[in-house]
Amino acid sequence: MTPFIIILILLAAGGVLAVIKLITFKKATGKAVVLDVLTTLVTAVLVILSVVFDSGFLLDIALIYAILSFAAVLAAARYLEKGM
Amino acid sequence: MILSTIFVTLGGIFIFLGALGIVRMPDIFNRLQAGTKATTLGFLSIVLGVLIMRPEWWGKLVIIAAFVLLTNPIGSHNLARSAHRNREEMTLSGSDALREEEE
Repeated sequence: MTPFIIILILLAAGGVLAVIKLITFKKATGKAVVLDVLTTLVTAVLVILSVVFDSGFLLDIALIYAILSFAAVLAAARYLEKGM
Repeated sequence: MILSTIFVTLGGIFIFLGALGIVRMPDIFNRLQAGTKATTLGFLSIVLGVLIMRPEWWGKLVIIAAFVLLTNPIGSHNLARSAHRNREEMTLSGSDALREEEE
């Protein structure tokens, strides 16, 4: 389990970088790109956590999160396209 | 065990490099390039590593991998199109051939 904890720390560092850029970007399209990356990262964290905690229940949460984040990114992109 | 650790480590490195590409790249299209492709590859590598480690979860893992593999390019395509329609600039090449074609 120890290498998986190290990978989780690496992914947390990537998440911190992404959240910092999510706050500091000026334009909304740049923020939507960071959101897309961040949702994939959170899904990967959920898949690794399901191994660390040894529960297949977290995989269901990861699948639902992937579906909802896809809908969110698509809605944000469509809103930015038509909203100008 | 060793093989699955290698795959998960590789996937974690790819996703971290994707997040780093968001910080380093100068332009929104370059950020899409770095962020979407690298994270999709890293996610698939992580799912493969977990699949080697716990083969009894293959159903859910295959469904998640197929869903992410199908939907991530759709999302990035929509983001790129909205960025193009919002007149984002390309900083590196200096000219946008698609916009000149449309005008």
